[in-house]
This record gives sequence, structure tokens and C-alpha cells, in this order.
Amino acid sequence: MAVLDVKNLSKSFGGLKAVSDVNLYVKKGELLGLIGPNGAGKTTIFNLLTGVYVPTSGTIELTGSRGERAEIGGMKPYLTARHGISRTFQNIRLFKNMTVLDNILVAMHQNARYTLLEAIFRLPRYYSQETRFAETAAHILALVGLDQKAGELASNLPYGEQRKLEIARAIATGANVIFLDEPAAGMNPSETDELASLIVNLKDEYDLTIILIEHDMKFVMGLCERIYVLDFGTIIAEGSPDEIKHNKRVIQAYLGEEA
Amino acid sequence: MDTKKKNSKRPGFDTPVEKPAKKLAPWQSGLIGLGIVAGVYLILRILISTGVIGAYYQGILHGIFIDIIAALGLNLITGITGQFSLGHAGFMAIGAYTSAYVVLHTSGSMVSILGGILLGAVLAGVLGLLVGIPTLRLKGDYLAIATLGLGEIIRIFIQNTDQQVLGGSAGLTGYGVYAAATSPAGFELVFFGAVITFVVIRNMVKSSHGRACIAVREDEIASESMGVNLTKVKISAFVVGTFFAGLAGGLYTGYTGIIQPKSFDFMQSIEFLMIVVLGGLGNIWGTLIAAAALGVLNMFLQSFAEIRMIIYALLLVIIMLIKAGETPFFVKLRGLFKWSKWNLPFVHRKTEVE
Repeated sequence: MAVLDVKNLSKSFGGLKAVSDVNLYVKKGELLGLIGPNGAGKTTIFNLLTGVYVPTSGTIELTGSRGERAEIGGMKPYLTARHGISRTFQNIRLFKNMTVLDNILVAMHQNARYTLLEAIFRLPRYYSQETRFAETAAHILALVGLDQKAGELASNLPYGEQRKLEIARAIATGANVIFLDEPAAGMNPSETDELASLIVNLKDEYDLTIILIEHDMKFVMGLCERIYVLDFGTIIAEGSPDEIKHNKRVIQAYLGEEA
Repeated sequence: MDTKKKNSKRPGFDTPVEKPAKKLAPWQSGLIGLGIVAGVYLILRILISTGVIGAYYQGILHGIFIDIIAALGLNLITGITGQFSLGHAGFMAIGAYTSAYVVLHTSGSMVSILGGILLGAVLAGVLGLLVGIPTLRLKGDYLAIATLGLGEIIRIFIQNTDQQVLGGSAGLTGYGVYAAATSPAGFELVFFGAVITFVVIRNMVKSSHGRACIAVREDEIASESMGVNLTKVKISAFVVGTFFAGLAGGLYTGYTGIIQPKSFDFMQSIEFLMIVVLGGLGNIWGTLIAAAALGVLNMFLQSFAEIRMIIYALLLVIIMLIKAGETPFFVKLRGLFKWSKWNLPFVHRKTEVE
């Protein structure tokens, strides 16, 4: 069953066509890779799918956990988040001056069922929700190994842990479709291995569908079940890691034409 | 896949997670807070009743409490939610003129005074809502200019109304003083006004809504992607902040006994901004201390009013240079005056260990 169904998606910035006529689908529970040379339009596609950009044309259809369908193209990011889509960013965008725990709690804000007045007057619903939030947050933090650092400022975490916190934050929204934009960027091989197993574990634990952009080919080929290859804003290949490795057009896109 | 079997014991996945340790039960911390408020109130009340704090110093104290109310409101907008507002005095004027008008045209009893103050605060909040919807789309400098213009529009509007209604540029008076040092329940009015403001802002900040406000200040794109409705968060902070500006205005009315449009000009907004920035952006305890410190400073500078603005300007320049952020100005300054940071050749520098 397709969770996301993208049809004829295009995005132009002035005269530049960053993404043109992209068709892709994502199956439920899949670990999908999106690769391509620099400037191929990978992050633009992420931004279109999460609502940061409004598509120039095309449709993005999301099937929710209860089978309901929604057109999310051009929807504001906070609304796509409500539909169960969340993401991390290429250049980490944590709430730097907030604690690790608060970063997670912010992501749970959309699930808060108490009003501002209930918070101001500290009515019972505030306490019951906050307790539940704290427990869920502690659980997620333990999963990514940050439970001991819950009280630290996000900006004081080492780089690798900031990446993990961003993933944890995306999961805390309660999303079932998660976009990871270069999660392994800047990590050394052992950190990358650890991250790969963490992503698999989290996917099983929360029943997630994960779409990731990554330049580390070993990481992508080892982790993803299916891969789309993007070049100059169009999809040039789709298939399993093995198929992609031997695809002529992909090799051409990365290494150039044979002389 | 070999990634799965690598760590056989995965914390959190295979082993249970410890529940977060409970600090204090709500009723315990509530009781402590209540005790502190009652203690401070009793001490101040006794000092005033016995005449240890004379009428002059009591007046200064009232001014500080009114500043605290307005500055806490601005801190919510500017410090916590990160929306730069320079029109705070304008909203204060709405509260001030509303309450003065109500008291002037009703019996002048305690009920009408409280009703007037509350109505003024509500009207300021409603105006904050109406104005916030279009202006909060703006960012940074543009928002500052828009709110600055708004504050001036309110002031000049009042200045040019019919003298019979709002007093024009001469000001409005004759409604009596009800929050000054000489009035019977004046101290209670400003003290509990400040306490209510503090509790409301604190409770808001320490909730999911408050965390969303801080997240908006930290990173708009990330917070929106995490499901935070930017418009709603900004506007609710603005409405609560302007509500308290209105409340401060209503108390100010009863504090001075006369209100004039020029009391609510741009410089008044800057004064509130000074308090917020000095106390640390987003730091509500810092706002209390900074308001008290500036109140005392103003008391000493009363005979040279011109110098006051020069000192403010200098302070602002210094604050910008040391980039204090959420740390209160005075704490940051103390850090700067550690000799080890000055890199002097004759001072032995301790090597910092991470």
C-alpha cells in the first residue's frame, strides 16, 4: 500500500526548474533512499513533500494510518505535520537554547489537548498531559541514547548526538512518515554504522515509513530497500540497491560519460 | 542485515525505561509559591504600615510594580516568542485611558476601579489581536517598525481627540488616585497585579504553549515542521502580552492621577524594552530584578532627566556588544570582569578544562 503517491510534481524558482515531472511512491513501512549528485533537487523534493515549498504543479497524495486520503501538496508545514509527516534538516535545525527534553516536548505540542487557559490556571488536564508527555519523551530519549542528557542545552551536544536528537524530535511528533535529510553527514564510519542500526530499530519500534537523502553510498546501499536516483530535477532510475549500482544512467550521472 | 544483531541489548528497545523522577508534587510547589508571595506581601505591608518605607519610597515601589507588569508582558512577546515590539506603551495607553474613562463616568468605587482596569486590559488585548493578525506576518526590523508606528498612532490619536472626551494633549484627570502611595488599597492593587502577571506568564511559559513560543523564537522553520502553528502561537503571545500592557496602564492611571498622551510615547516603550533586555530576553525572574534596578536608578537620576536617556543608550550599546541573550545583563557582566578573561600579560590564566 502506498503511503505517499506523488504525481507529476514540478517546482520552478523563476526560470530554474529545480524539480520537473517527478513521479514516485512510497510503500508503507518502507525504507526508501533518495540519491543524486549535488543540486539534483533532493532537498527540494523533501521541502515540497513536507510543505515548506508550494509545488508549481503536480499532486502529493498521502494515505493516513486509518486509510484516509489527503492531498498535501501546498499544505502548510504544521498541517502536514498533523497529517503524520515529520522531518530532519540537512543543516541541523534544533532549538539550540532549549534543553534536549524541551526539544522533544515541543514536537509533542500538536498533541497537547489542553488549552492556554487550562495551562495558566493549572487545571487537572494540564498535569495529566504533562506527565504523559514526560514519560513518552523519556522513552524516546532512551531509545536514541540521550536520556542521560535530557537536561542539557541542545547546542551543547556533540554533533552526532544533535543528529540523533533531531531524529528523536521528528519521531516525537507522532509521525508515521519520516524524512531524513542527510542523517549521516559529517559522521565517521563507526558513528554511521551505529546510526544505521538505530534507524532500523526505531523504524521497527514505531512502525515508521522512512525516506532518506544521503551521499554516503555504503550507508544507503546497506540500509535502503529501494532507491530513487535524481539528476537535474528528474528521476533517472528506481530500483533495489543492486539494480542501482549497475544502472548505466546512474553511473553516468555520477561519473560523467565515457570518453 | 548485519546492523540489527550488532547490539544484542538495546537500551529502551529491550530493557525498560526508567520513569522520569518526580521533583515536587504540584500542590507542594504551589504551597511554596503561595508562602513566598504571602511572606513578601506581609514584610512590605508591615514596613509600609509602620512607616519604615515612607510615602516617597512607596511611590517608587508602586512604579516598579507597574513596570514589572508591563515588562513581563513585553518579555512574553519579545523575549520568549522573539517578536520585536516597540509599541508596548501604545497598548498601555489603551488600558490607561479606558480605566480612567470608566472610573470618571461611574461611581468611582472599588468595583468600578477594578472593572475599569480589567476592561482596559481586555481592550488592549483585543486591539493586540486585531493588530497582531496583519503585523505578525512581518519579521525582525519590519515588525519593529510596524509596532513602533502603531504605538505612535495610538498616542497621536488620543492627543487629537476631543478635549471633552479624552482630554487631548492636556491629559485626563479628576478621576482620583487609587493606586498611589496615599490611596488606601493602592499597594495591594499594584502588588497583586504584579503577582498575577508573574504567575500567569510563568504558567504559560512552563506549558506546551510556552515551549512552542520559545521554539518559534529559536527556529521558525523547524518549529513549523514539528507541527507548531506559527500564526496562532505568535498571536496568542501578543494578545497575552498586550493584555498585561493594558493592565499596567490601568494601574498607572490610578498611580499618577493624571494621564497624558506624552507619557505613552516611544521612549516609554524603549524603557520597557530596556528592562526586558537587561533582565535577559525570555528570563522572567531577570525582568523582576531589572525593573527594580532601573526603578532605583531612575530615582537617583530624577533631577537630571536628560542624563537618563544617555545612560540608557550607553547600556543598550554595551548589551549589544556583549550579546547577553537570555542571561541577565548583570550576570553576564560579572562574568566579563573575571581577570582571566581579559588576557592581561601579568595575570596568570587558568587553563580551561572542558
